[in-house]
Amino acid sequence: MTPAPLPPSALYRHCELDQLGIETTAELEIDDGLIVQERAIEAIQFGIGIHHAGYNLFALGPSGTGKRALIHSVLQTRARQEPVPPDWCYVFNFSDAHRPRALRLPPGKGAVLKRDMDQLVEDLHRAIQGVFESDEYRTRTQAVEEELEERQEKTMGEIRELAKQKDVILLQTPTGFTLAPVRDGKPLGPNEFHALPQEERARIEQDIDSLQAEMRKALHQMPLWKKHSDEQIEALNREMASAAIQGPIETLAQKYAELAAVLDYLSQVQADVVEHFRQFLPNQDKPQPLMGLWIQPGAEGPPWHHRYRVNVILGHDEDGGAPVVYADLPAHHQLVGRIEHRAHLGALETDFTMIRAGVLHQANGGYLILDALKLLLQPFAYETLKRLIQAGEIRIESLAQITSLISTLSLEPEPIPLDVKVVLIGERHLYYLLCELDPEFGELFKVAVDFDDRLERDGASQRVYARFIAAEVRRAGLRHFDRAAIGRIIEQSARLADDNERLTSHMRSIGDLVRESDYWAGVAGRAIVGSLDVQRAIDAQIERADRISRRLREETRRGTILIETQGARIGQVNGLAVMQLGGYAFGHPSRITARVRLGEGEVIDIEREVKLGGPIHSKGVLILQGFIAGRYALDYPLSLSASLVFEQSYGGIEGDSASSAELYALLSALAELPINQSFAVTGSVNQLGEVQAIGGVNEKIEGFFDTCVARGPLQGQGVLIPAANVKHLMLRADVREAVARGQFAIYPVSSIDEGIEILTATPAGERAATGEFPPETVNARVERRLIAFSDRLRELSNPGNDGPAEHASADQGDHS
Amino acid sequence: MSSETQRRPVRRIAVALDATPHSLGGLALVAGIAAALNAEIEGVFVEDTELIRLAGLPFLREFRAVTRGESLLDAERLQRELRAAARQVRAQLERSATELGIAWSFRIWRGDLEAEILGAAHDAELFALGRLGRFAPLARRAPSRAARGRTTDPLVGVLYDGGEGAERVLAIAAELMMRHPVKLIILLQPHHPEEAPALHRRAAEQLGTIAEQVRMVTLAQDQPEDLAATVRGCAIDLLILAAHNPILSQTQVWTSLEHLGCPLVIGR
Repeated sequence: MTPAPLPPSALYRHCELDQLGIETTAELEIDDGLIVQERAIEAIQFGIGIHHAGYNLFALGPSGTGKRALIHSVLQTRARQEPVPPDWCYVFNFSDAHRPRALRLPPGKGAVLKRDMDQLVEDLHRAIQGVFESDEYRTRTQAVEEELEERQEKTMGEIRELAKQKDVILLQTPTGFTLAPVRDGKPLGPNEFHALPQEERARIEQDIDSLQAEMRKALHQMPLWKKHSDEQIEALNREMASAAIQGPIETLAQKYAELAAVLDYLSQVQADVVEHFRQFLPNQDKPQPLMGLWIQPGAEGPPWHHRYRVNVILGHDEDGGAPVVYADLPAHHQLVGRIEHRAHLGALETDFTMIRAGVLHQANGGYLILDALKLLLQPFAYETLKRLIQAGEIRIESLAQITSLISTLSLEPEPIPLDVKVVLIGERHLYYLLCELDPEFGELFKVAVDFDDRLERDGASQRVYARFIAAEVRRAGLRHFDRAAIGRIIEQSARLADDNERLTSHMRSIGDLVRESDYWAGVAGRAIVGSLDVQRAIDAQIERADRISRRLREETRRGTILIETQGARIGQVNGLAVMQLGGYAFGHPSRITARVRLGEGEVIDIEREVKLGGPIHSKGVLILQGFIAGRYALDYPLSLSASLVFEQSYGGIEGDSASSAELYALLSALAELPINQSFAVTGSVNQLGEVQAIGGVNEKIEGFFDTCVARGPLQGQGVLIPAANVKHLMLRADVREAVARGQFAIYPVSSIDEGIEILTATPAGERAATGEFPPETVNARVERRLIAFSDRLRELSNPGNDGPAEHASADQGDHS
Repeated sequence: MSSETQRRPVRRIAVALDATPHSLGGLALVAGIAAALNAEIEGVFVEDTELIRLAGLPFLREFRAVTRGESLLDAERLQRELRAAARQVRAQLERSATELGIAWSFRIWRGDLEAEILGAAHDAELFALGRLGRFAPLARRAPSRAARGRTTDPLVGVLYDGGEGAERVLAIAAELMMRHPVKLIILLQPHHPEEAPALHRRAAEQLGTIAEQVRMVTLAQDQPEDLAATVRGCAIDLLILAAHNPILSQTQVWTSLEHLGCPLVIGR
């Protein structure tokens, strides 16, 4: 039975405005307005609730569906109730300067410790200067020095006294000492000496020799005394320094009594300050000249101050909850942090104060959201992330280090334990590719959060949409939307979902539409956005993008592209294709032709032969062959050679939505019945002749409608669509109006027989109990043609044989 | 004391120097005084000719202070070393004077240290003298390490017996205190113990408003040992006295210096 055309009411599902329960968005007090997807939320709750290794999340779904916003919102809600993670600081490692120590502190304590250490350095300056300028220190130092001096002078004095007894004096020379004989307090010159008697001279020489021997002995002792004295003063220095710093350090130690790591650090600071107490004395702060230049210390104080500073790489508020961090650029160094360098006199130098946190530090103890594609595009970032998650610690290494591009001495900061839930966000194909290609991926991202790209269209989801619109209005400071405008957006959402029973979850598109509607309302001078403004925005979107579709229609109208919308043709049908250019999809008719002749049972798909047809399209054509072979002339070999082609198609063709059209063209050619060119056809077909649903039905119908309007006159044209696609219809108003006026029709067909009847205005015909189709039906004509081909083929193969039918039956009988 | 005497500015301060570290230590202090008094500083490098004469005795050895090596005394080498030392001292004097922005001059004096050194500086109004040449301390240690961090002002002592010369040097010291960060201590040197209060008053009157900031100590006996004990006990860094002071006439000046343990500035 030939199906009736669809009534206008079946072509579009209006929004039931009463269900919204509001007049304008001004009545909705809403902040986030997220499109809640329960399945996804349950998966997120599971993923963040389970605390075992590898239970990180991958949120998959089309971009623009609000994945990140929803995940961020859910994580934020949970994170607020979770404990604040600890602060982390890097401090100087006094035993190995190249490996800075990491200090874990309670939340908020990092900044406090930093301030305390800065203050400590100032306090130590005062305290150390104080003790080393004290009378006690001066006195004790002088006592030690005087002891040495006395010892030396005593020894030298003894020598001098000894010398005096022997009329010899001890003299200083520019570089040392010498002994000289004297008379009457004055040294003897050579003349006076030689004037002395021989015995006297000999005695003097002997005395001086013995004194010189004493002198040698004394001089040999002096360095040892000096060393001993130095040691005494050094011990005194350490004692004084210890005394000076004990107070400030103990005060700090009491403050941090419950933090063993800090106490340990403070004890190391104490030991180091004692070791380097001279740094705190005033003359150590003076800049040292280098090559004639005076290098002033920076604002942060002299370089040696740095060793007592605290680098708070991660500080938290005490009541801020766990962190939720989104990294918009997940490069390697952004993930793990980096070690900065400063240029100093032509060289690059660094220290632990120049260690900078990465997003893993910032998210540690909380949640890290990353865009999977961006992560994969950054060199080594994905590998680094996996390695750190597996290791459970953050190790700051530069790319140059891990790739061994440089091997200069640098810092190796102590790793920080990592406890973070990582949420990757990406397209579905990315998730499946990672599952397929990376064995570690499944171990580390065990929770898939699958976001749907469509929502069921009901009262609840429509109200959710209204809340989303209200939130957008509030967020972007837009005009409020009235009820009709909201309804029109919901209807457009159903159109974007290609389903009048569903709504799209592609919130970016809806957000764009909301903002553009506001713009057009502004242009029109309206205070409230109405449905006309929404429609204007939709139309403008199309106008901005439909250059190609206009061009195609224009060339069709001008006869460059051969499309007929009137009359009838054998073996020719109007197929419908959808083209997607950027974000805009549109339909356009395409002539499909079929030619048949005697052959060996093959249907040639010209598109496939020239490699313009994709695999799904080729599959559709092969299904036609199966349908023909399985329905007609079952007792005869299929002796058909058919060729199918999309006329004037110069690009690739994919999909099987034209397979029913191709079958109609083939049946028309076989039955030699013309097809009404007022119709266009879409739908795939199976081997049983059932017409199956296809995508883009609205664009296809509108594409043919636009072509018919362009060619004119619009008079009884229509489109055959699969009956299963009726629920997807959300057609434009002008199409609906044409249908209402009877100028255009949409036929839902379930089988090839229904379709061919409409197209040829001839009954398809059902096989009777006799095994034959009613005469002059489409099927009967097709079968008769195929049998004729078969008979002719047999004649040509065996020129002397009897009638073909009998022989064929005999063959059939033999085989059975 | 006439006010004219008190007002007469000091034009030049001479300082006796040699190659020993002690004399260089005193140079810095004297340069500071010269700057405060806006006076020229004159460095007098003393070459003790007695030392050169000793080089003719072949059995004498020179012991190096740092390396503890020995060598024969060689006159030419000694002279070269003395010239080198003089250049170093001159450079040091130039640096100190330039830093302080004062005029300076330098000369080398050769002669018998003991007999004639004081005469060499007769024309200077102030003559700074430490232990030099063969009278220098035997210990050649560097200046005290404790002193490196010392920020307290130097303590300048003034030997005051009430005489005209003493008034003159007290006036110089008072002017120094007002212009330079030094502490002053007056060592009252009465001829009889009962003169001490009067001497104290006279000194206070002369000091005027700064008298309260100045400590005064009365020497118990007019003996060099008592003075030396006071100077050491008070840790005086520099002692100023008049040229006619008995301390210089009672004993040989070098013995006085040895006892005192600090440089002298002799005022004329």
